[in-house]
Amino acid sequence: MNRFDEFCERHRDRLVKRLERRCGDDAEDIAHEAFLRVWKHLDSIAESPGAEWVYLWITANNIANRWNERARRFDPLDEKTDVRSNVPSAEGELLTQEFNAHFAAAMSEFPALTRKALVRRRHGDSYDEIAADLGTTNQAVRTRVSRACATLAERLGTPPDGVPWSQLLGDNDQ
Amino acid sequence: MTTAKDWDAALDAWAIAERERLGGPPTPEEVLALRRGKLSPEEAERVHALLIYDPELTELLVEPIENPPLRFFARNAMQWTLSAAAALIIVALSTMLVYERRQAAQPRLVAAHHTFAPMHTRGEHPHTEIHATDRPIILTVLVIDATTPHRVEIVHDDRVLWSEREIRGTIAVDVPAGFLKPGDYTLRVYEGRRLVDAHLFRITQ
Repeated sequence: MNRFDEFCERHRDRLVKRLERRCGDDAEDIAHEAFLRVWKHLDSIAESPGAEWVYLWITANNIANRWNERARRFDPLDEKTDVRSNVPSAEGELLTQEFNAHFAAAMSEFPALTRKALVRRRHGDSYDEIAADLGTTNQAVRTRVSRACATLAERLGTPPDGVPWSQLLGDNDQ
Repeated sequence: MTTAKDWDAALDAWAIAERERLGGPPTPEEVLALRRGKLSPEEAERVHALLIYDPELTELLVEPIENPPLRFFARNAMQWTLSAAAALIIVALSTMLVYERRQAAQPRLVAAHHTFAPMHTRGEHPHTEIHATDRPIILTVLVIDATTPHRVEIVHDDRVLWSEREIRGTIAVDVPAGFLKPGDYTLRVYEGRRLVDAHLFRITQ
């Protein structure tokens, strides 16, 4: 087994599995492209332990983003799709833009830690995980999220049910 | 009236815009420098935020920084052991085979050479004594009739230990050392089903 094969063998399973969640059948191709790109620089990163994965995953992520973007641009519409139901009305578009602008304005006023906590909650991370990664306590994260959601509710109206990140539910509470 | 989807979409849109504002995805070098504490506070904050705002990259904040072992070696330790053992056996057998072949190609000494001449008499001949050593012995069986096929057998306790058909004329049987344990044996010669000769011999210690 040569060095390139060893390098691929070491990371293939993990890389392809993670890419499959986002890119389905394209995962293998994207992984292959990432392996080739990182391989060119492997000599310069070999001395850093664990650096291979950092290089690989960031490279694969960038490639996957481009593939997905291209697919969105060029995929023909499914014949069964009712085009009319997928295209928002001009008025709906305007309302969305307005809502997003107010939302963004409110977000920009929050401290960095609060913004990060909200995004992590959006992606389903627990208060404990967020607290550990942000170097604070579970209670501090809860307080920040709570205050931020109160502010958002004040500015944009109370969030409807089904927005888990806006509620003070943690892993142990659910 | 907003829906849960609108709120999620608003937060996602904000995160995407924030990523672009902060300069797009971090480079691997930036991430490694962040993890090693080698960035300025401002740069560290920027790269940290980029990793948080892209959920696909957030794992790089917390993943242990070490290369996984080569899966091939890690998962197949038992298979490797078995393969190594098998390889060792193959090498040993090959060496033995080569040695045997070399030995076979060389002239060699035999412990004894006995010629059994046909007596053309019914019944068994007197014992021939052969001393067993660690060398092979050669038993020569004189078969005068070179046209009719004969069968030769070595028999011990009414059990045929060795047999050869289609023998025409005299043959020499190379008996490896240890094949014949001490005891009494009969060397029988048949023509068809008819016993034409029987030679008794005794292997002694």
